[in-house]
Amino acid sequence: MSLDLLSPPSSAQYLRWLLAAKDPTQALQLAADHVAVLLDCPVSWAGLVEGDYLVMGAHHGVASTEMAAAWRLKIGEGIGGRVALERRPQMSRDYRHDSRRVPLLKRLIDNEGIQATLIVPILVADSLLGVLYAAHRHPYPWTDAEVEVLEEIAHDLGVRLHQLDVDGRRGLLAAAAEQRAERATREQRACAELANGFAIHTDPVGSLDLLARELGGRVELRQGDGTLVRAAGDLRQGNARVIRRTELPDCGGLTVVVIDTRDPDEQRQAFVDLCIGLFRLQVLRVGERERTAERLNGELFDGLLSGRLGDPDEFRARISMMGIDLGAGSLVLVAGSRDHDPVGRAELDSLLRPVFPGAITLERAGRAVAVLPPTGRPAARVRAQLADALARSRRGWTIGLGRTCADLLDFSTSYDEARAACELAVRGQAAGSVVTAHELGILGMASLPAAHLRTTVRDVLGPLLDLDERRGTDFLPTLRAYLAHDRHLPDTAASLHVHYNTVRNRIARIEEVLGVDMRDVDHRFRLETALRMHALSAALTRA
Amino acid sequence: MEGTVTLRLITFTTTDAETHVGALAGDTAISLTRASEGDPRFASMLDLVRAGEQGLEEARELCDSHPAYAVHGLDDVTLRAPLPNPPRLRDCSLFIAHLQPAFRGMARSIAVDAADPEAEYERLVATGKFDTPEVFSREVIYYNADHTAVSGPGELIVAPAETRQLDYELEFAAVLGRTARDVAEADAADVVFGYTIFNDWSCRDLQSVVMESQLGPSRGKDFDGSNTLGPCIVTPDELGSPYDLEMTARVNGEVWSHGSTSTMHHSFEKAIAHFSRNRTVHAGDVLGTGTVMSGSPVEIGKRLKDGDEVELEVQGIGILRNRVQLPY
Repeated sequence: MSLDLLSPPSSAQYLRWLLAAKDPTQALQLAADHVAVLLDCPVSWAGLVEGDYLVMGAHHGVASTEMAAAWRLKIGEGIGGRVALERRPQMSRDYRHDSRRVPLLKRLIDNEGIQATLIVPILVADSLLGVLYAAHRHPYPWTDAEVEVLEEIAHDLGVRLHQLDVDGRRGLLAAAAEQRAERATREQRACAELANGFAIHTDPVGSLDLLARELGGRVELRQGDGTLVRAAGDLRQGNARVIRRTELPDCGGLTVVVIDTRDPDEQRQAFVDLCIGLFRLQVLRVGERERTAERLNGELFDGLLSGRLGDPDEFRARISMMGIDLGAGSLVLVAGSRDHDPVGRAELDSLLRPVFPGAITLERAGRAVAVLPPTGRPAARVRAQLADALARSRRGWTIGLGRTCADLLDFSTSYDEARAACELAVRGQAAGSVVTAHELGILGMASLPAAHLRTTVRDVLGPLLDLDERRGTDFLPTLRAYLAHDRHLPDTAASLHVHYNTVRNRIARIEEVLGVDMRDVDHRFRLETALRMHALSAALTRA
Repeated sequence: MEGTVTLRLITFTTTDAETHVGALAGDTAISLTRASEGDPRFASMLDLVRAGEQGLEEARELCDSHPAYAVHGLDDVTLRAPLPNPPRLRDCSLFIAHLQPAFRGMARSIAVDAADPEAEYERLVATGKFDTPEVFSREVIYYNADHTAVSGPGELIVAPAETRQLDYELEFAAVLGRTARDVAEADAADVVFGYTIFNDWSCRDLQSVVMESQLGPSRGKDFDGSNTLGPCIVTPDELGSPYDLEMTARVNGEVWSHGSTSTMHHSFEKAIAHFSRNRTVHAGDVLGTGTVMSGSPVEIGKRLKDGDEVELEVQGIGILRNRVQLPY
């Protein structure tokens, strides 16, 4: 069959078909089919440039699916790769003796039984689009005429691919713009839905679930010190990374952390920021609502200060969403007045606010109570600042200061200590304007139930209390003064304004009635503890 | 083109939970496991390491010419520790300048609980127990880290419940490519298969207690996932000299530690020569450098918080990123 006879009509038809091709894949397929017909070879394929590689664009007569799926050649490697790099035709008349081949393709092509190839570049002007192959399953001496024919097919193909590419690129740009617009609309709708969801959701914790559902990935809400308030959502396959960490302004240090396995583009980032902005509004709104409810019934702080928290995680989440920081380093104080005028909550609030912004004040058991957020200052400094504020106010109040809290369960202990210290101080049993349970020696007693205190006091001091009550004796004050003066009889006598011998007689009587020996340190310790419990019990009962 | 192809080797899993050993190429991961059609030398990184120079040579060829289906988008896979099961993991003191501030930092954190922290710190320092022993500059000191507790990039590092002070340590590491004995220092460079980043997570409070035993950091540094390696192993021809690389640690994007590998006191070559003297070192063994100066929060008076993201970056290797979950 002569090339001259076949090529003109076939070439014209090939051109018509090329012009009719709607996309590059169709054009490549037409070219591969045409190569097989025109060069009378069983196999042909076209490789397209993709980055540094040639990938299979279309094929004709390939027997194995593997060849179609796996053929991929680095530009510069093998014979086809050299054609792409050098942009000129190359041929192999007998593959079995060709050293230019690369291992993977050698195997693929040997499996196909291919033994001779002719390869030309697909070029448009100076740019390389791919390479075109013609192949035989036996050694074959390619002629110059065949090289020319293949080059011509490749040239026509190149022109059409370029045309399609220009059209295609225009189409792609339009499609991308449309896609962006669609995505923007979708994200706007998502934001609107999120806002609606927030509006009907007053559960502060559920709001985070809504946010996570919209954003995908995992979303965490953390306090300023890093403590996790709550997390929602799951991670997809991939390597996790923080894509956004935003501290919500005016929300007590609350921070939203968004974790995903993919880096967001600019548009996505804007969407994430918008959702976080909406979430902040929700925190402020729900916080305000909760604070109002708290002012009305004080249920949350009642739980905190009495140690009845329910689920601590749930509690922490609610408190955090109110914008209140109860992290490690918080403490409780109770204010009272020695002249028995009650201290009002509002008065305490105005005293504390300038020094301890974020302090929460409330009323409890007839006293003004405050919870101070973590200050980051040492306890001694906090105490000095309180004393300072009291001195400047000239109000003559007394403040009982509780322990520094490490976690939520410490708040009730801190409150008990503050209250006990305050009650003892307003009864004149402690000096100074700010007192702690520690310095009053009642640490560990302040949280004991009243009945427990009373029983212990009766167990140790019962007979003495009975005597004083029945006969009007002063054994208890004598015992207290004796121990306070470290068993020194003259000092004790002077403090009680009685004679030295009176004290000695009373102490002997006390030892007899209680069955104790004042020289025994264990006995003295028991008596000392019971005396402090007695004072505490009396102060708390009268409060 | 021969010999110019350099490798950034990875281990990754695909959505179908298959594990592959592969190489990074731009924003794709080439699976050598698939490209080689199940060749046992490419079943895992350790197999590849053990396959020696010829294995690497074939890996290079596969990177050049591989089937289309062996290529995965990086977004579609999860990178794992490149060598998840080293036969041995030694953490060495190749940097020694950081030791003094690290020891002093530990003394300071012990002293914090005392009534007078400053006086207690002075007392602890005066005992001499918080000085760097001279042996660290004389020879290459190491301890055996827990080679079963290896984690990879992106993994959540969960600190043990009893610790109150978890630290990162900014290090990098050499992976040995050959099983050998009595390697001369001059030949030791040929034994290195590649380099990766190493985060030697440490519970300082637990560490200072057990170190009193003088038997190493033991449970202070051993817990699930306590040794993070990754994100890839870079072959020596790709990396160039390992002794002039910038090292940076960031916490939540803020630079906490910054140093250079040029401050290493001992070289990997010296360590290999030292460890192989009358003893066998194995292909796949990992040698950590120890921490670069300022490369750990304890040295610079900082503390990690729950949920912090730690990024270790070593120039030419990449970024190793993890988040921490702390019980405090």
